[in-house]
Amino acid sequence: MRDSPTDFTAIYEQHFDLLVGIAIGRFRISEGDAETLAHDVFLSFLTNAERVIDRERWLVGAICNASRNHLRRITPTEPLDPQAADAADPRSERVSEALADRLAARQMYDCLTPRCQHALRLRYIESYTVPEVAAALGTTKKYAQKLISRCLEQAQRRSKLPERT
Amino acid sequence: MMQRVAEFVSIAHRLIEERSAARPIVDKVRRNPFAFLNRDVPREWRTAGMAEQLTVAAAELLEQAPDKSAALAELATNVAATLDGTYPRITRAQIIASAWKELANAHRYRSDYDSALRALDRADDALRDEPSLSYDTAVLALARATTLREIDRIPEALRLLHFATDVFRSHGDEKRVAQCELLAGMIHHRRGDAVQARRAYQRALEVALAGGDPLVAGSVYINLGVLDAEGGRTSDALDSLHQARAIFTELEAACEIARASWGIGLALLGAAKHEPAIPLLRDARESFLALSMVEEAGLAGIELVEAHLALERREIAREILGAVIDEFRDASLNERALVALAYLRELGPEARRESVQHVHAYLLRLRREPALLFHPLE
Repeated sequence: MRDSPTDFTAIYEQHFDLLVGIAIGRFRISEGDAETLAHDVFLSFLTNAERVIDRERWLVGAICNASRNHLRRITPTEPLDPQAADAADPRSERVSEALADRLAARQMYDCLTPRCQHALRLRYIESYTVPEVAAALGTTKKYAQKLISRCLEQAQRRSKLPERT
Repeated sequence: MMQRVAEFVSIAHRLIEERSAARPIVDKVRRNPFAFLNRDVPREWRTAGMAEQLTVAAAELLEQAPDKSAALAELATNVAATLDGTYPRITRAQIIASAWKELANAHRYRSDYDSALRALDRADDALRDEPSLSYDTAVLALARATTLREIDRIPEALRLLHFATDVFRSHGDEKRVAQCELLAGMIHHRRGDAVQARRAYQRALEVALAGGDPLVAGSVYINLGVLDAEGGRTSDALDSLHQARAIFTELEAACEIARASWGIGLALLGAAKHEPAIPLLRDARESFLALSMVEEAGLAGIELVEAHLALERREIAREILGAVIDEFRDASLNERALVALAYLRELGPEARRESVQHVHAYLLRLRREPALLFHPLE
């Protein structure tokens, strides 16, 4: 940790709004909780700072994970309806199609370069916006959009899936 | 917000000061950490910076001296336990978890997997209920996955590994991602999937070389070397293993230098080049003994026995076998290993290489399945 105390103030002030904004905007966390989470993320950064290469990317990753963990903790759990045990799982109605889709998606995903896997995972599985993908990848919004398009093309090209009717 | 910025800056400043105050003390302690165990933690040591620097020293000594590393990590856990409420809850949790994780690593290096897992439990306890510490939690998950792979608890290891990889990727920590890829390769390797293992190793190597992480690069080269040796590609195997040894020599990582030499010796042994294999296996064995890595030393000893038997030097083979038995007994290792070794000794001058290879394969499995019974060759 080679930064001077002045730098620490700047780190906090430069990124605080971004982190709180992500927690509120993407994860619907209340402002008070979002600020507390962001502060904890900054504190956790201090003991890891030596390893961090891209500070913004690290902090964005940390607030996203912190927000998810926070939501998991506060989401109440309710016992299952006793009749639910006998009911068929509605997801099993299209199980063979769903399984085929999942296998196809997995096959397509495995064909991609690690960078494309990461970009598509952020965009379509983690539901990042394009600017957030850009921040996570340490690049510009324009390049992130271009990368996502290129990765989708790569997925189509490489997957060589048989057409399904 | 001003109050929070002030707390952040103040703790940052405090950590910097504590680290610089701790460094000269830790420099002294690391020469003989055993002398400081079982003592009360001195008042001036009770800082986060001190616990952190002891943990750093433990990590630095892990490769060269696992015993010292364990002692330093134990001191770090003791110091971390004394930290008071003037530190933020997050910082205290991180310091405690990190110290226990380093102790777990030292236990793992000494093949004490139960103690390693117990230490990781303590580390996990420290981070429980801290939603903002996913990165630190992932570091623990990687350490646990590494330990679980060594004892063949593969599904658990894979689950943790996927979690850790995702978290490191989301934080942009490519070095840790490379460590995860390396471990993924080792898991595929253990399962016998050479194609997937090679892919994972090569991904790890690319990231490690690009990110300037020689430790991971060296480890990948060792594993690629072993993979090639197993596939009968001795020349490729030797290239990778020599690369690994050069990297670890540069890093002065005694433990990994011994592993690389061991790998070269094994590749030569596999290619029936017994004479040149012997000095390498002997050097590796001696290094392992000096590092208190008795199991590895024993395995290298059995391989030496095999090489000498192949060259009809039965008397030397018998002496080495006797020494291995004594070492295992002195170290109180698994009784079943002693049974297998005693069987080999009872075969006496008539011991065949097949019997030696059978015992060697059993000892390797025994590390992962400690309750496995030994059955002599028919």
